[in-house]
Amino acid sequence: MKKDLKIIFTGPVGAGKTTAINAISDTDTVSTNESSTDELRYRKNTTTVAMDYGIINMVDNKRVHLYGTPGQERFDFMWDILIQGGMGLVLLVDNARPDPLEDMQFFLQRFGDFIQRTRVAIGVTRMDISSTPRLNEYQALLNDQTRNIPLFEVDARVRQDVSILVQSLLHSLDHQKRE
Amino acid sequence: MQARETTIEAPPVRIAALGIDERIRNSLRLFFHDSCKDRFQLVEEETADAVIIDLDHKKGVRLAQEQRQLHPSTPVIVISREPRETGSLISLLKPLKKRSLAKALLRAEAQAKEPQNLSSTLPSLQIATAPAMPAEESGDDVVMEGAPSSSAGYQIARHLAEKDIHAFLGSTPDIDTNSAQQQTNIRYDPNSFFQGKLRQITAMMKQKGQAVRLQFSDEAFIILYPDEEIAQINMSESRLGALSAVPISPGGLSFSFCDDLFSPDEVAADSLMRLDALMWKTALWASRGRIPYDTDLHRAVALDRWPNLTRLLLLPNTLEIAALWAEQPHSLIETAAKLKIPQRYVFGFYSAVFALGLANTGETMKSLDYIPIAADAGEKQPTSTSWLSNWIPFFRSKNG
Ligand SMILES: Nc1nc2c(ncn2[C@@H]2O[C@H](COP(=O)(O)OP(=O)(O)O)[C@@H](O)[C@H]2O)c(=O)[nH]1
Ligand SMILES: [Mg+2]
Repeated sequence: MKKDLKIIFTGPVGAGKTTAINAISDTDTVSTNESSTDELRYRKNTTTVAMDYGIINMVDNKRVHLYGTPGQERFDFMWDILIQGGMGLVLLVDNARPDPLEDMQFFLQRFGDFIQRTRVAIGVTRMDISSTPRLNEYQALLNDQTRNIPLFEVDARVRQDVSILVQSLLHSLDHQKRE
Repeated sequence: MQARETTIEAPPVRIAALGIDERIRNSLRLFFHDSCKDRFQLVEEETADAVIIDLDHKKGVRLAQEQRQLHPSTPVIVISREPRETGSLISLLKPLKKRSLAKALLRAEAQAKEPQNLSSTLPSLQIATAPAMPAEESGDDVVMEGAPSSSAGYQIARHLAEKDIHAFLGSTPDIDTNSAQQQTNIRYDPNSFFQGKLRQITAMMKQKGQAVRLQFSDEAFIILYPDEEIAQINMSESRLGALSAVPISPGGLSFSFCDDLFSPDEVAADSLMRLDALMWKTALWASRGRIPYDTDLHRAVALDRWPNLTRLLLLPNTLEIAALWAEQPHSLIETAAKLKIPQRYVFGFYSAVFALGLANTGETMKSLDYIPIAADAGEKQPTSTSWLSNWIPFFRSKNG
């Protein structure tokens, strides 16, 4: 396996991408923020417009580079640039948004080609704020996917949660059937 | 785009606080997080690298003795109001001071690393963590004295100390599949253990839609709530472990339907456990690295879906086995060989996913009468008393 891996974090604004990358990175992450405009009604006072970046040092000297996609569709063009060379996708879905199931479908669709070539792992965040929909509703939608996708409840602020999510993705990549 | 890199070797040192009330626990959490930059982490007893015991607690002395007997190599820090004869234990006087507590923790850490230089079974993809030195701060009081707590401590343990792994995975060596005797040694009947009773009772409960109370003694009980898919567990972790690890005679378990309304406010948050986490854990305790008796060692196993592993007890190589079975079905024997891990790790994981109804071996699955429990979040838990929130301070959250 190559020594360095590139993993992309994506998901709607506020799902916890910046937080998750921060929580798991061994470095101080670099993120370029611009103040939110008012039409973005989010509790956050900054929102990511460029990208988040962090590194995980693995036990065996591998390094995993983490990149977060800017969350707003006006920066959509960057997504395709960002995923170049990516080995896998971490999708964070904010369970407290109006239609998180639809959010998941949107992102799975949007990154469909990429996921087909690589692997994806899904973390449902903010379940402490909104406990519904429940994980089995997500699972039901995932039954349509060709692959068995790791899906966990994740609190993006909790390193261990993010770590398990990322490890599930890395191990899936490790064991993928080479067609 | 630049990033500063820090390379780190050691995972956080896991500390269990025994006989220590919630207020002091919280202070410890804060201290570990703020002053020690998460070099230390508060965990359950079963996963601890070192323990802190309050000798002023009515069970304190006994807890300390038990520790010595059960885990002689685990460093023990004892705290007390009056000076005491504590032998080889690291002792501290109350009220605790940051500086002396930090020193005691560092001593405990050093002791924990000395005795057994266990070869690591961590998966190669294990992510290194980033502990920092405790800040040597002025001697402010960090922890006040508080009333002893009787809480049983049911946070979801996610990581195990290696020395305690045998409680869940046993120590049976790899078997020769040609030996009939060895084939029997690795099998057990889930239905004769608490695991099986729990499965039956849960199925009934879901049909009736009514809570169930399992009474074990005057004080010890478990209430299962169908809608919330939560168990309230009123017994110690070790008692639950003992209950789960030994076969239960027919009729040896009394339960009744009850109409207790689930009111998490009145229940100590740490006595709550998700049903799937309970079934998972009781299955591991029962199996101790064995498999249900009619399992075919050579039949390929697929994972129907990923269990909610962020909220379940993780054993060595759990993520690796799950990923393998999610990607490419393998038999139990092949799995151990391919991943180069002890067979009992694979067997234990199989028994746990089997208990949740997620292990798919083709035919056997169809005869399983178990209705899988949705691996979802505990519903209706108020955010303020969410037991999950107890975990949050353990980890870095730079974004506040
Ligand atoms: N309560 C709660 N807050 C969360 C959780 N995950 C992330 N957050 C918070 O959600 C907010 C938005 O996260 P952020 O990383 O900025 O989202 P991004 O837009 O995807 O980068 C932050 O304040 C996080 O601390 C969670 O599971 N529970
Ligand atoms: Mg962001």
